[in-house]
Amino acid sequence: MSRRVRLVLLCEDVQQETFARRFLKRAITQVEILRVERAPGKGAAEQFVRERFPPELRAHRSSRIPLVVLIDGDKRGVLHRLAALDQACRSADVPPRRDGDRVLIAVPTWNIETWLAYLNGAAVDEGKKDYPRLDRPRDCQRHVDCLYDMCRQRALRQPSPPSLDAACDEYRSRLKQ
Amino acid sequence: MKNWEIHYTTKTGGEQVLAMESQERPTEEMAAMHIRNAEMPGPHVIPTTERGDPNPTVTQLRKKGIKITRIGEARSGQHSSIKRLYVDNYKCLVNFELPLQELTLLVGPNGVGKTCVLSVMFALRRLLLNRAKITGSRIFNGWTPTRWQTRSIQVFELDVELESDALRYRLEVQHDRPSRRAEIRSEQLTTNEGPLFKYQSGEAQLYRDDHSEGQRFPAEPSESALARVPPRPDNTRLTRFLEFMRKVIVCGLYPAGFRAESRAEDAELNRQASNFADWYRHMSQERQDLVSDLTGALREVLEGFKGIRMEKVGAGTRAMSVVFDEHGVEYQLRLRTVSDGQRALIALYSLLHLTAGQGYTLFLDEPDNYLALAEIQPWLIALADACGDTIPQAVLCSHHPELIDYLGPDRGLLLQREASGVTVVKPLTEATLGEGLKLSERIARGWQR
Repeated sequence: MSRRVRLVLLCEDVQQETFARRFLKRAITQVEILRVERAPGKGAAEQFVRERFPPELRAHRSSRIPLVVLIDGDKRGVLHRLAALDQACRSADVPPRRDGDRVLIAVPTWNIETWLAYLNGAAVDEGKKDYPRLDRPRDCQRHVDCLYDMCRQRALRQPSPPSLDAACDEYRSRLKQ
Repeated sequence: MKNWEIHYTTKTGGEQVLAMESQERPTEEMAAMHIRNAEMPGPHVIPTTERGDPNPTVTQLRKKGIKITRIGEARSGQHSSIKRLYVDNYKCLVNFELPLQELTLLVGPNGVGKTCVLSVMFALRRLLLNRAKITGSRIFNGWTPTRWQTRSIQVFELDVELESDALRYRLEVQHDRPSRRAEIRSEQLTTNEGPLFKYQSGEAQLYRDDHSEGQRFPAEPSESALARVPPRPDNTRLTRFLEFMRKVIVCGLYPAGFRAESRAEDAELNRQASNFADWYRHMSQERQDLVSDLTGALREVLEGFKGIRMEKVGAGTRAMSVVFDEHGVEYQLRLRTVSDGQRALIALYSLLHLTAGQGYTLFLDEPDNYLALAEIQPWLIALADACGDTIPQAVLCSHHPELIDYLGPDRGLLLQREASGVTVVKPLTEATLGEGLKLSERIARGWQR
């Protein structure tokens, strides 16, 4: 008999997935078996996450399996994306995320490359969208290690991207046991 | 010179690596002694009350996650991969170009040539390791030229990059269609700067690494002359290519055919993995340090799995058994009595973990066969993480929606037959209509461009 999935990861692309999965593997034990739901190719990835969120939230409430969501902030930012996910829930007749839900929503802004540039030591501006992509998604391991070390010390290097601050708060309040 | 690394976990939970020197792979006892000396410098008679057990046993050290690797070995062949395969006039592959990434998923309708790609790789490997003659079974015999063509020459090209050394292997096979006889017309290994090996008309010409002319020798057109070249100090590039080909695994698992008993070790996994027990026996003996990784991974995905045993059941014969521990009761099942799906799962994780860091390239036909739905994505994630790291390259063929949706967006290639009969290759996302739908759904609807 195969093992049950212990965490669900909903995200836009392979870079988000690789980064989140490797961080979770370092930060939380027993997340080897996770389920990844990723947008099907280029374009409309944000819409994919927004539309998948309500059924995943409903599934979380029945299974109690933690849900981690990554969605790019783009020019809209964290609050707008959180509001959009709440709205998507209401449209689908699913009560929006509540305090007790073990549902982490991370909104890298402008996108995950902004975080990667910051974790690589650069000063970043979330209003800019042209931070470089990594050659290969798996090259993010050192960025993951850097974030993990900063997380353990509960101190992001200042000035830190506000969207990463928000994600760390979410991690501590929603996921960490 | 320090040539081995001992990886272990310290008392505080940190990961530690120690370098040590040894002519042969250090035993766990030697590694334990080395750790002990490093952790407890000075006189080794230390009161137990102060430092805990001053003489930890190997069993205790195993609990620390001890792992022994040759320095450089963990990354052996890391940057070696096949960049391109070209096939012309082989079954349904005509003038067929296939670019390959670190991880590539081949998708397409039945009969389009996905398995043919694996058959070509299997045949090239057998030929280049001198395991078969050109007309041998599953090589390039008289039944393999494209049926709707009348041409008598088959061409195969393999572009490989071996630690940034770009090589091209080219093989031309001449067929006599009426008699179904075949022979090698020419065989070459070249770089951008010049040749390393050439064979034509019964004569082989060797070149040194710097492309200067070396020995010339007569050769049979029925077998690879390149495969017969022994390693020498001045042909390291050629030797590295042959070594690379030795580590290509081409397999479509058929777990019902796995033999449970192993009479001898076998370094070569056969096409349907019927010799899995022999191969496991060899690989686990060669790299005992990797078995704990495999066991850990299988415990994650297989409920109750405890380990694999190779029990002696006769002179030189060992039976492969799977040990389970459920509800505190330990029991073991011979390989033939575990389910096909469990056998497939064990084989797939063995392919990932027992080949790690040794430069193996995997070509796997429908690895999803026999697996439960929940078992597929965790294995794919593990494979995707390993590719380009502990495994230089993997190529998969599949129709399964789990593979198409997980790997398709970034690593999927769609094979399609055009009206001319030629099979063309396109990135899966570009080749399908229906943005917003899952890729598997687009394929299910036949919405290929």
